Amino acid sequence: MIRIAAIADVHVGEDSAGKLAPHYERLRDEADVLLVAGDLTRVGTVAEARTFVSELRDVGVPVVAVLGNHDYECGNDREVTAVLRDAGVQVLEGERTSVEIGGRRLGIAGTKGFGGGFVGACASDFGEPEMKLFIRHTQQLASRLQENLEALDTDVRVALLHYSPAEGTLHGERLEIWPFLGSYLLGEAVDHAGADLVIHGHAHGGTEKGHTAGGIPVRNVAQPVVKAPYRLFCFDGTQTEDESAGRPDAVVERA
Amino acid sequence: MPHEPEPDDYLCEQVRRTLAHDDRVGELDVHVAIVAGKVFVTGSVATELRRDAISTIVGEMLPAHELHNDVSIPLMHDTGEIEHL
Ligand SMILES: [Fe+2]
Ligand SMILES: [Fe+2]
Repeated sequence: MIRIAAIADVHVGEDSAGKLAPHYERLRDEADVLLVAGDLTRVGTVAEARTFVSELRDVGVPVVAVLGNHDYECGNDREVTAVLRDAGVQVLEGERTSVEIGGRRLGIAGTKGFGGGFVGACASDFGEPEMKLFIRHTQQLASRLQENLEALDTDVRVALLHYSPAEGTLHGERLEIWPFLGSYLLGEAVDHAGADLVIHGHAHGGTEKGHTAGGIPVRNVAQPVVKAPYRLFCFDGTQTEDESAGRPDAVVERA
Repeated sequence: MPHEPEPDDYLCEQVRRTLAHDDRVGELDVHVAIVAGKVFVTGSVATELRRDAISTIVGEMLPAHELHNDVSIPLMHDTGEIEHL
């Protein structure tokens, strides 16, 4: 059994000190790992990153995180990442990791991701250099995500993002801003590589549950959406060959 | 000739931009609307201090408008049911 706790968008500032820690007291009894899907801090200062890791000090399970756009706001993302890593948080950006849990292995491929929009209404790699930069950033992050998922040979594979890979979890957000909330390129990468679950945040006004076009579950765990300290996901037992063949990711054509 | 007074639409976005970049707030999930001379601020921020700072800043920017600070702080319910996948 692999038990995952996940949260996003806690936007910790120095004014958050002491506010989150009490909510994490039971986490070690409920989960084997904590995934944090970006916007850990308010505007990405080193002081805020220190406050964030201080709030997590008693979590007692491995913590794996990706940064969100708020963590980039001050231009200190490297320093923020260093503070997190010094405190034992695994920060993934175009990277993967695995965690051994009770004899089974959980693999996590992580990236912030980026925007661009969804099928039929998305930005194109065309025209001005600024427009190309925008969409090529998403393309690059998506292809790294796919490579990392493909390279994971773990029992369970999770994609950890800040931006959304699918429209389903954006319902509630104004349609006009969907291109800034995620990209189908991320969903396509996940479907081509296969995964058991996608965790993301960023869409504070969105909904919790959706799925990729290939049928992989997508969960928006932004704190204003889940209205809880974290959500819990559990993968029970080892799957048989037959069950595995029926999984959504098994029927998706590989790139 | 500039339009006088500044149209409400632009005022709303000026307030929103200021709130996003002000050291005391730094949040994007904040919506500003001017209706019948009143300014309504909605959305959510992580702490009470940030919500209070919104009142201060909007009050300074739009002193002639009656302010309704309806910004919420996300609730913290239980973690809820475990989802089995
Ligand atoms: Fe956020
Ligand atoms: Fe975000």
